[in-house]
Amino acid sequence: MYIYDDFDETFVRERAAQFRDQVERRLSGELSEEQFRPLRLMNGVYLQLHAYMLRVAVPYGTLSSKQLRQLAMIAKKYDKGYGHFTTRQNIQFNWPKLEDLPDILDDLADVGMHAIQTSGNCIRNVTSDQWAGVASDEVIDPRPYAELMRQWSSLHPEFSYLPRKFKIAITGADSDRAAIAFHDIGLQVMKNKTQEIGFRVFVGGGLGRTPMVGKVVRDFIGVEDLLPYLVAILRAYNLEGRRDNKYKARIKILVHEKGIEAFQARVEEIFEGLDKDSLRAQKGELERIEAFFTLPDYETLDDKPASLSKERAENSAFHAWVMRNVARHRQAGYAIVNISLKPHGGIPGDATDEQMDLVADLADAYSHGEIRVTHEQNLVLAHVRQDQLFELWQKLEAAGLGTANLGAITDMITCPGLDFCTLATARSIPIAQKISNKFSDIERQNEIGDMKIKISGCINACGHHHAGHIGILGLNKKGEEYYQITLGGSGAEDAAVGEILGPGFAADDVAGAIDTLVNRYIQLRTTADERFLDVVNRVGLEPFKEALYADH
Amino acid sequence: MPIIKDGNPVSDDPWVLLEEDGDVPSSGDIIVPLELAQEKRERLSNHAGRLGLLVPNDVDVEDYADLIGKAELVVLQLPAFTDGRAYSQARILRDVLGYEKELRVKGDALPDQAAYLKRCGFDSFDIEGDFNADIWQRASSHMSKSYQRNYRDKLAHRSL
Repeated sequence: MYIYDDFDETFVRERAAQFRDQVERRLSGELSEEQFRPLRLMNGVYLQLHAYMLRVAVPYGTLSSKQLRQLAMIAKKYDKGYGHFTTRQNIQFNWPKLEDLPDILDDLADVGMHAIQTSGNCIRNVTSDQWAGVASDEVIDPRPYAELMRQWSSLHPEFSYLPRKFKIAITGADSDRAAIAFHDIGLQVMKNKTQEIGFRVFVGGGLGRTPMVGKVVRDFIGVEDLLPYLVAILRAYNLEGRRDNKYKARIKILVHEKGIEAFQARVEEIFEGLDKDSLRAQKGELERIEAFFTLPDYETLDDKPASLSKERAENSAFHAWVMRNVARHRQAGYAIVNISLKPHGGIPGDATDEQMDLVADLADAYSHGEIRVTHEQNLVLAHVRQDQLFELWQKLEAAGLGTANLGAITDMITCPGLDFCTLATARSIPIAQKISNKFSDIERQNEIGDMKIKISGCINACGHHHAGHIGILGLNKKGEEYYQITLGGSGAEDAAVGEILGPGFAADDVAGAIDTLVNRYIQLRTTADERFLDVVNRVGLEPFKEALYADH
Repeated sequence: MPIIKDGNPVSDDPWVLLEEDGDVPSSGDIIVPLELAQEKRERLSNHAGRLGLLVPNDVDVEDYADLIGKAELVVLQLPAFTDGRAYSQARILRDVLGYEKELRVKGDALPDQAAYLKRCGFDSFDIEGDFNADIWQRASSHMSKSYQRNYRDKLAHRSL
């Protein structure tokens, strides 16, 4: 993974010192809360219902064991002993004190981390495929380009006061695990007909109150023109994006109102006029970055060692975990291990300081000291030997980290909701917990198969409900929380926005409604491989509406 | 608040800003609102004194390349410190139109934004509120490095 050099180190240290100064000016009253707000936001500091919240950047979701241990230390020393991994592959601390924040940023800088641009109307943390570099279906490793964009977007002089936040995601695989179609800019690294590396560029995707699937603005842009092309898109947006209404300020609205053809023409016009040389990465810089992303020294091993088959045969819980949580690796004899942060009845995405310390130790022992955070709020150990899976699983299991539910019905994305967030209209976490408890039987989960439930506690859609096979949106009518259900959404390569089924449900009835939908699905599917989403796409909403509302 | 240049107040700024619908004097260093400058284009071509332009933040500056080419000062505007359009306008003036004379920003900016503004090509600041040289200096000099190439760059940069 990328390691800071003196330049990066100085940059982050100075930024931490700058924020210390800003906090002092706020505490002394020299800065008003209104003036302090955009400054703190650009350092990832929010004011929530009960306290300040600090969101720490985990660039494209990659962490070293040393960094994860430092996050554990921060959780213990400054927070209540846990952190919350987010859909932006970041981590949030919910209870820091304002006066502690400069010290926390210094502690982060000690391990090459920061909270720069994890909030505010600027270019946010660039996200990527959590299996980047090791996925069996990967065409090109997207991480060097993600790192290039991290640097390019950091304290960008022109794009730090955009109409609204701006999110970029990048993938280099056929299966889209980074939800690139739901980002302001989505990039797919690819090779063109002449084997030149470049990017297909999507623009104007997003969730929120106006969900939209991104549209292709460029079929192919070569590597050396990536940064100039991003400048052209961002410049068009910065100049023309709406600033009169924050709910219409994202680039998706500009693209929608202008039309993709007109927007594309504008971007090309700006792009043509740019002094591209002055905007490109300097010669050698990409190669310097790429050198950090070579694969570790793998041993020469056989796939499916005999010991693994024996362990799976003898231990059904381990077998279930391998089936669900272990993915195919590009290297023979290795595996990608997905650690579920969705224990049954738990809070999705939360990890205690002890769990973080343990995962850091396990990463050192079994996975070249590296950890990935996923946008689905889980963790990944990307380089595990197949003959060490059983040992690793036993240690995870003992710490409550062995839940065998990756991609299953209880592996839900859930926003913090009304338990923490000032914007929320309803609670999300207790709904997730009820569904999780209802479907806690692993055999039942496996019978249901792949299923993505996503829960948001308000129409801002931080829980990605629009992109859920089943989406749940928490609303509030006359002081009563109720929940609207959508079907048919997807955040993958078949990106789609879910459709509303009908009238909403009270908090206590949501899990039952999901049960009804699942039972109907099992009746409707033609083979065990036909996923819930496939059935919805095949038969439409009607059969599910009938099942849910027949008695009403 | 005075005009700020190089972190210091300028006591003898010669520029006079004209009203949108005001008269145009025959001499002196004047800042003319863009619309008025278009209307009085001929009259201004004989002006005895230097010409400045006040440019709204919702116009495409490339459409006014000829007027801008004649100006000795261009003033871009920040109606609110969260409104970042002038940053892009400045980049276009500097990098696309090749404007090299004084570029001034007028409006609502925090000292913390001065460094960003300078990096986009601004030379002088006409900012609302009180000026505290100490705070200005401190807030605008925290960062010694930048990942992007900046206008007349003095920072160490990585040219991304």
